Amino acid sequence: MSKRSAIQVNHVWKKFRRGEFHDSLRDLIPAVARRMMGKRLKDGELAEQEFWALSDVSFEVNRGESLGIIGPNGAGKSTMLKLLSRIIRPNRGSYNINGRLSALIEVGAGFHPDLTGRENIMLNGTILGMSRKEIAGKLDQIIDFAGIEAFIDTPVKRYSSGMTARLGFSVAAHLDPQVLLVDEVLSVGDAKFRNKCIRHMHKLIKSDVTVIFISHLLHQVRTLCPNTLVLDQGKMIFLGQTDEAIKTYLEVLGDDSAAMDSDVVTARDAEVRNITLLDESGQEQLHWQLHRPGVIEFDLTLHRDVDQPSILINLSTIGGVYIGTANSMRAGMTLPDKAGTYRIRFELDPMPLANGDYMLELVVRDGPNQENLLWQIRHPYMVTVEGSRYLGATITCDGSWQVVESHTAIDAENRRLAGMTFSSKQADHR
Amino acid sequence: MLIRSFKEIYQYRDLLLSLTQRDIRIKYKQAAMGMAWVFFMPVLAICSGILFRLAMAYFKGASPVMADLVAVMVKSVPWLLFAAIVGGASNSLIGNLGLITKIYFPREVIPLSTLLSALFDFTISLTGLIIILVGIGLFSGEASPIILGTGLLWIVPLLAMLIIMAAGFGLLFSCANVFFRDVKYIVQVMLQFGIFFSLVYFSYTELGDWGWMLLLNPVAPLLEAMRMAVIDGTIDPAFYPWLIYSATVSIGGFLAAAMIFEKAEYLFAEYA
Repeated sequence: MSKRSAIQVNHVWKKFRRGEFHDSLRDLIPAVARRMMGKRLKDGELAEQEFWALSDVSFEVNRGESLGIIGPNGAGKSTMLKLLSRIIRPNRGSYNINGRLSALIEVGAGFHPDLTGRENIMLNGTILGMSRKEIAGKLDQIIDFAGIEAFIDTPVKRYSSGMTARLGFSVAAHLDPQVLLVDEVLSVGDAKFRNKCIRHMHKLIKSDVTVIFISHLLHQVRTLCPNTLVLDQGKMIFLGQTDEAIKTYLEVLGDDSAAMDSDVVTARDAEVRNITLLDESGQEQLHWQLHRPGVIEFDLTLHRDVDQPSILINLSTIGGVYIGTANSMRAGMTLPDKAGTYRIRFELDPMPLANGDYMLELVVRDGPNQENLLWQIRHPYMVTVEGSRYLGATITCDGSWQVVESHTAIDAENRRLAGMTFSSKQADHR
Repeated sequence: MLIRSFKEIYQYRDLLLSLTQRDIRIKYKQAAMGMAWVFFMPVLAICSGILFRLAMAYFKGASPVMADLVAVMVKSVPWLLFAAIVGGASNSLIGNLGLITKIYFPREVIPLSTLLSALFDFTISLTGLIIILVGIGLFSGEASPIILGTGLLWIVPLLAMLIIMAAGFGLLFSCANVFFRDVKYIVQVMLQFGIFFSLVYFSYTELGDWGWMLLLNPVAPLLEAMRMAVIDGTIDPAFYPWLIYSATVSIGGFLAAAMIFEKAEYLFAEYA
């Protein structure tokens, strides 16, 4: 292990069990006895109902670096963090952490609803491993960061969920770790507080803290971590540059049509299947170029005759900011209303979107005012915009620019030479 | 291995303190009886015991003896401490699963914090008991059933043994409860009726030839010895073997429980 290395994970395996753990005492006693004797039955093998939540995961993070971990649900991301934070132990393999470790696995874990904000800061802080003295010294900073001074002596049960989350994050943010594990906690509070959190993370990374960062918010991973590990069903499928990692991840999400099907709400009266994204030339695309025309095709199945069905395609940023909707009804499209399956095609006009990831959500409704929900995608479809000339913001506001008047020393001189003073110009205006 | 545990618990002493403080605060916040609650259980237990003694005296055709009533008080309060520690600790881990599955810290801290908050309650009720006993002593003058003397020093090691024993059972049951949720009901029932099997309301000498069998309950010799220390002012050396038995169970049980706890501790987050 090199001197610079802060986290080193060597071929770690972890198995979990599906279903009920113990059906009867008869099953349990021998199992526990085996475990207690330290003679676990062949670590490398899976008993019935067991599966590898992590298999053969290895990586290394140097001091002051940050590593993102992304992957679909159930990929083993949180399991990895729980292993690193010593909540659970691996079945095989080992890991090593240099430095004081803190984990932000769930903000506000351990808050007691009946205690006041101030009392909970003390409680939560010690749970996270701070000393009471340390917390007392940072109390004002913590309260200030959370921005809830007025409520600090109110029991937490009377807080809004946003306030609770902010207080939780604020306590966690004032830990003084050398290695920090972050699991999906930077999505708390409003946009302003989120930005504050992100800035705080940047500050930590700059100050030589090693960070492992799990998030479904890919843009956060991109801004915080140069390198990212992609997990899928417990296996490492990519480790390297974040941009490449995100591409791999999106491919995993998109390719896995079985997973895709299980991702939709159980069909009631209608359902949408076989969604394909095409570019203007009809090529199937995972990385859609939204600033150019795009095409979505899908099968719409109506299980019964419905009344004036309509389809909505909602577009939002990966951070959840809603951008707009393509509404078939508003566009004047009359969809078939008899039971059956139809292939629907929607051509989307170019939009001035910046490079990045966006989420597409499909909703089927019926009724003249679109009042009944027939079907809704459970997990939004992810599309990537690439090759856009618009950078930075989500949407570029275009228009034309020109200078219509100028007042400089040279202008004044020119006007004087032309025998036309500024004051006389003003007089002319009157 | 255990030494590592103790060292780690010491590192997390602030957490232990915070959790204890939380337990105490929660108990008395928004409670109708507030601090009066501390006295509620002991008063009720002592009253039941006195009723029991009065009934026994009535059937014997004798008048109740003050020493017997004092014995009930002296034994009830430590018994309630034992019950509070074991009962509280048993539920402590499953009551804090949210923490256990999310954050690392030595898990022993959780049952230990319930032990400390039970000790807090005990200190208050013990103070009340001492005031009452002193009052009885002054009031009955020469005929005082309480012997003030060096014999009372026995109380300190006896209480220590009782607390260590309770801690052992508490650790064991709290851990078992994570794996089998019915453990808490078993413990609850045991503690509910345990008061009759721990010689709280009577002495083993009152039960004839087979009375000694109740001393097999390791709590019973400790309570009996406390009665002797207060009322006889000394402990009969013939009773020492029973004390050695209790002390062995207490310390041996605690070490065994701590070892089991440490082995099982890393499974909590998975089995919870």
